[in-house]
Amino acid sequence: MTTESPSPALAPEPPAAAVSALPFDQLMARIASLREQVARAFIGQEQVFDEVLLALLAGGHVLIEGVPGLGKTLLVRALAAAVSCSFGRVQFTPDLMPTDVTGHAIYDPKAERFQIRRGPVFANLLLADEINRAPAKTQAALLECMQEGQVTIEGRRFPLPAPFMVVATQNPIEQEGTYPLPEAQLDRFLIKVLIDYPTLDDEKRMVDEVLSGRVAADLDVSRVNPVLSQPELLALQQGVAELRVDAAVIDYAVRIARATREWPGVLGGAGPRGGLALVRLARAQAVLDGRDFVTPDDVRAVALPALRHRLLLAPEALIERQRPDDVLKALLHKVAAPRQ
Amino acid sequence: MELERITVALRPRTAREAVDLGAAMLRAHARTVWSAWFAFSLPVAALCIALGWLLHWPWLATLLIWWLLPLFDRVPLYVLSRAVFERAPRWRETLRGQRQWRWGGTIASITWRRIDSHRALRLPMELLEGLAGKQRGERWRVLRRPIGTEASSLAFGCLELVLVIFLGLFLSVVLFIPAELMPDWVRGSVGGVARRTPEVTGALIAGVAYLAWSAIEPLHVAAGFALYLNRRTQLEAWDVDLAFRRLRDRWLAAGRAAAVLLLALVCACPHGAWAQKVAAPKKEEAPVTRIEDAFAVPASNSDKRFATAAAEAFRDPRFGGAHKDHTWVPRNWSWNPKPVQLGRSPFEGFGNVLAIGVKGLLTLLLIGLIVAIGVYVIRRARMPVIAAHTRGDAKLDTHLETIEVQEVLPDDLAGATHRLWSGGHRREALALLYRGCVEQVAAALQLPVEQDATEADCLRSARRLGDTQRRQRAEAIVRAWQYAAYADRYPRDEDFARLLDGWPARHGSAA
Repeated sequence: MTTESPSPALAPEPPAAAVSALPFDQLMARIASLREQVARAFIGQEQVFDEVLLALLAGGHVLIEGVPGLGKTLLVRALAAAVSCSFGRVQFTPDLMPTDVTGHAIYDPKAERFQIRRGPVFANLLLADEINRAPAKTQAALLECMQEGQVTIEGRRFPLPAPFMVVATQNPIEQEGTYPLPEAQLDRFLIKVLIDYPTLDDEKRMVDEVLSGRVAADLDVSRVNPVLSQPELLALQQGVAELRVDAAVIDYAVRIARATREWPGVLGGAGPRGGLALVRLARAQAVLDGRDFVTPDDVRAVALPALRHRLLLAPEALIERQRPDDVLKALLHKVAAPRQ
Repeated sequence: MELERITVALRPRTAREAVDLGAAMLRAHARTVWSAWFAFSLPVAALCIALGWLLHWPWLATLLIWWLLPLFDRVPLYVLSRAVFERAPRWRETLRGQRQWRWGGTIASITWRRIDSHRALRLPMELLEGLAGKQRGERWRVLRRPIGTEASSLAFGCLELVLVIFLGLFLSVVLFIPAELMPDWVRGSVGGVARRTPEVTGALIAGVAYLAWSAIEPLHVAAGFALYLNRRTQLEAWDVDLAFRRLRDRWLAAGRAAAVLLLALVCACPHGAWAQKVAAPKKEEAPVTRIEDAFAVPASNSDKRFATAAAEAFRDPRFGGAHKDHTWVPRNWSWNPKPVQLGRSPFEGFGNVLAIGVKGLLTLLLIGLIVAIGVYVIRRARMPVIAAHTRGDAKLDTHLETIEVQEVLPDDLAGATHRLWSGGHRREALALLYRGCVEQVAAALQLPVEQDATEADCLRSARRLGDTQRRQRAEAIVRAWQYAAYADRYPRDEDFARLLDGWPARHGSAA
């Protein structure tokens, strides 16, 4: 296990106070500066960054799937640096224990009492690297954190700092000795991002920038300046959450989510969280597009990352090498868009 | 009739043996049959596919080709009927020969008798015998009586073979050809994006269906023709006739030999006065086989031989003279049952009534189907593109229950929109205008209206419009709809009126 943030024994934090939303024009300006700062360290892969940004704005958690070495950690670190918030990282391994993630009670002989030592989960941004390498019990330790924003240690509840965002990664090619994430946990992720190799131009630019005048090709987020404070990020999220969503758009999102349950070749479709995720992400997508209202196009744009990890394909579909994205594209083609 | 020239072995067969005979005849003349078949039917099928493509009705080509199958059936029957007595005609002769045959039966076969399962058996009777009116009905009853079931089984068997071939061709493409090796248009048609290329998919389906019918329909006709031949052999004792003819030939040959021998003996005697040259016996002219004799088809209108023969045959009590009556007799009705009085049973005519009822019902269904198709075609002709949501199975559970949502766009869309706007139903007015815009853009680009198409799709399509004014107006309508529907921001009255400026008075016409 690797922890990059100190985890001192602290008392439980009070719940976050009510946050007032940012005006829309300020909201857009902050997002633009956030993009600019992260792009200084994270080169290319605009779609990946956009999707992570969607989850950040919507206040959800991200599951990133991609082979090693594509900058997943760099992205999260750059994001943490730009947002000026605490960053924690856990390298999941088969021997990782749940308490290694959440924290535990330790006996202090001097004080002759147990003290709570918080785990790396007590951070604003948590990178759970290769989450499928840890057994289900450890993975499940994240459930409470992700869903309820709190950790229970020795019967006491400790709220996690707001904003709290888990960015988990998993490797799609080395499946031996891994523990696939259970459905319940997958459902907690707002979005699943697929990261692929960068384009030729992006890769050349990255090599050029990383190695210019430097000996080691390590990650460098020192050029990223903080442009958002934690309260500002909370206000940003609140602004997105207050965006207007028409009933027809909600209806469209719910119909898409429900259609996944009846689609042939799908054993298990998206639950009610699927519809919620669609609307939350559609709001963020509308903001990224510079609109203060949500359209069906926003729902459709986020449907793949929001739903692809919520589909359980039937063996026949898997034999035919169908992927959830294929199913979702066909499904979107079937669901009528609102016109009234 | 020169039965001795017939090229098939005539003997009474069971129906299944007769069908085998038909298959054997088809194999023997496969090349001529199929060359004529393709020469005749391929241009028609291509025309049907082109029609379906041009009218944007993907289903039309397959339907038309299926509908015209009785027309194509004339070709293999012509080849086989000639091949039985003469040589098989070439495809050009076959096409020319179609003019000799009547068209009345064919027209009936492609209209009110299109779903007749006895078509293969009826076809040779109508085309080769050329009977008409009541005589044809009597003749048909005589022919059909013992083999009607076999003819129906043959039709359904061939239908199943067609389906097997049709599905087999598709599945072989889908299952055995790697997707990366398939051309894009094939992959697009079979790979679940058929909705985007309905014309290509329709043409592909029609093409494959045509190939399947081309493989099986000549077999259907040949088997029906063999059933017909077999039935006539049974009815008219062609095999006995043929045996007597051959016996006569053998006796004639033997008689000639005996005469020659006798003549030689006579000539051996010294009769100088008779030593004059005896004229050689006039050789009997070789019989000329004519198909008209075999099937009693009049070679021309002036030829009355068939009329005479048909009239004689019609007066023959064997044609229609045989009847089999079924009556219901209750068991143990009486200890002293009286002899059954035919025609006095309480169930008299029950079967006939039932049959007539079913037949009437099927006829009504067919008429209803034709009327429904006609109404649909007329409605489609009036509207270039049907509203997308009427095709979609998922309907929007609209919250605007107070306003009646029009499923089909009104002809006067501008007027209807204006009335809604004036009545205070601003969202409904803009929704109607947006739907009209979507359909108009799709019609202008000759694209189908996709039910999943969103505002962004409409804007993308609008950008492809060549006419700048129409493009700008379409974009303005979509934007106005977006702001109204999803942001609750409505245009002012004058802006709304500007959106309607130049909108076609009648829906579907170009603005």
